[in-house]
Amino acid sequence: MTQVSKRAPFLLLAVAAGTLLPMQFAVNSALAGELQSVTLTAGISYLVGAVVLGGVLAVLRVRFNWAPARTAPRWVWLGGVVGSAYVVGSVVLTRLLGAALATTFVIAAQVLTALALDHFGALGLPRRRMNRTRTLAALLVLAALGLRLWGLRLWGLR
Amino acid sequence: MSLVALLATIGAGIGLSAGLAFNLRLAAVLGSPLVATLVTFWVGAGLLLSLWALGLDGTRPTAWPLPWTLLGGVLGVTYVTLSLIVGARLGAGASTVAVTLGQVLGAAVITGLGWLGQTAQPPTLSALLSAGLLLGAVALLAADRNRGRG
Repeated sequence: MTQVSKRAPFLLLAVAAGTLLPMQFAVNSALAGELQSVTLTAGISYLVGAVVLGGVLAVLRVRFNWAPARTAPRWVWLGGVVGSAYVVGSVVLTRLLGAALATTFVIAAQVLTALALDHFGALGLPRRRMNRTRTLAALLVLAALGLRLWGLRLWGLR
Repeated sequence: MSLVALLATIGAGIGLSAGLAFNLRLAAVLGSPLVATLVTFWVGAGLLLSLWALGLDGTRPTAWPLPWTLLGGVLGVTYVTLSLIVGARLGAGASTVAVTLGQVLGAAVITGLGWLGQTAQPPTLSALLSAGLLLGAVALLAADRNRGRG
């Protein structure tokens, strides 16, 4: 029981953290409506985030070590490039479909991509092949998408 | 579903999953996930603002946007920081499932009530069922990852 009560505040914090993502979708989508540019919108989102995070790290006096970074493969620095696809994609989707549907699509695409990256052990991730559990996860994602796109009519339930 | 929406979905999904993998690797190199995130944010800002400056899309804005619309990045930073904290306390599996629950709940409330500039769309039964299936998928993936580690 003590284990559960100790974890409960962090579980709530995790749920609260999750709500920030659709909020960011909606806020960035509103900004894109004002600026009429998804690249400027996503760039500003990253820039504001970078300035705030830089400030937080300075206040916390976080230390880090550049020395091993020099010998690391070059590609590790390019997270911001693939991350840009995520921010631009989420803005475009939210503008087209609203935050609720955009969130569904992004979670679905994220799970399917994670399954694929794991299966091939891409990007330095440990290789975890498809198995029954993972196939079931993929099928649930596809069912969730089908349900969202075509509703219950397709199943003759409504 | 239009081609644009499909491309945006694929871009967002790959960007998010692959971005996490990049960030994990960079965090291991730099010794701090928050410093890795800072690098990622600067690289993203540099790339996207360059693309905009090259005139890739849109027109030049003529007026300043409403101040609250500029706060998306603050939400993003808060999200990254909180998810690192809860991930360290709960483990990757449980925290991912709880964060995903927050995502679908938040999305349903924001869109349902029409907050933050959204057009109000009340959640439907199929939307709720669909969210439940997605949570199930995320939980299965998290459980399988934990098993592989143990």
